[in-house]
Amino acid sequence: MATFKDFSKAFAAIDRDVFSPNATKKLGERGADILYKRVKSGYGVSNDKKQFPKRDKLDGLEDSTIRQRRERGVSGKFGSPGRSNLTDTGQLLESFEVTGKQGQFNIDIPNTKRQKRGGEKKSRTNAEVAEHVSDNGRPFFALTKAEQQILAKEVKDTIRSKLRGLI
Amino acid sequence: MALELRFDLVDLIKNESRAKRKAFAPLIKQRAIKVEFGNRCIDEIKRRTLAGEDKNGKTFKGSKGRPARKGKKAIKGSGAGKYSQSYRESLAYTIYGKTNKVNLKLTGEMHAHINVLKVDPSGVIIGIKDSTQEKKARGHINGSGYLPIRDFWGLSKDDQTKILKGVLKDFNDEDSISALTDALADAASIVGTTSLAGEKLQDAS
Repeated sequence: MATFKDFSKAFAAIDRDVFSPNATKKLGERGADILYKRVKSGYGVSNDKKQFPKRDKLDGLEDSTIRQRRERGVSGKFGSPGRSNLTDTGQLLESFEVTGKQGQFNIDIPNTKRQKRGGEKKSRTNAEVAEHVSDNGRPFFALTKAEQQILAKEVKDTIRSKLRGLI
Repeated sequence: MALELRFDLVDLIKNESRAKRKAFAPLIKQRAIKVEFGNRCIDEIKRRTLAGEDKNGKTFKGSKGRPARKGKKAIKGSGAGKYSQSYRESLAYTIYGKTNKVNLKLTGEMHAHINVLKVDPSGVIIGIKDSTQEKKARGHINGSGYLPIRDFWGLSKDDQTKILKGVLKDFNDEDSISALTDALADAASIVGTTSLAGEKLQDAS
């Protein structure tokens, strides 16, 4: 039979491996990775202001943009002149920062200055670029309901595994 | 309609000795035991699928291949458990870091949507409610177009019995903490947010 001490141990383990800032940071990094891979695959979300958006294909690039990208080259990972995956220099999607708090994580695009791209007059920050692409028909910065479910399931499985040791 | 799979716990103990049946009968009526059994069945289905085996323990079929059509080249089929050449060369395959072993997992969304849906007087039902993930799963189970049948949706009686015995062994305690297990697992939630630095600054000003 499980004793009070066993319960205390299990709850401490749950707190450490699920709710502590370290644990939520890890979970947030997993969330950032899911987001990164989805966007690199060419998908954004239906609405990044909603709590549970759906996955949506990112709008294609205009011919003139593709031509321009072909001429000056695209250097970001998984980028190519004709592929719409928010990748040109790659700075935006590589800039995600994750912080963990008790029971909560935050994925942030910081206000860091970007290296200027060839032909660019003014250097913008990553947060400005994210806002720009989102406002111009390519919202991406949110986790879809299905993606949130992946994280929720991982949390649930961790809790189950900690409690399983009790019985 | 959700994709469902029902496990009958009464049926699983019917071949046990009379004494064992008598001991197990009140236990398998408990909701928490049914839910835990369902969760462990899901764990086993996922483990086996990720190991590349179908519900009968056989390696998943390789790609069927596709004949040439309308200016598109023919795609060669692949060996058992392997993906087609064209899929291996796809962007998604590279981005998600897949290996050449069929395991029905790209993003992980389908696997994450398999849940315990309900319990009934003698058993438990697991399934997938989300329509997108359900379609995906049915595509694997029944095959679709040039995709072969890769039926991962099931668990042998032997495996079910093994799992049930494990659950009963763990729960066979008067002061069962099953209700607590259940409540905590259901209550588990983490709030995740995304925000742009610009928004944060605006909020602060």
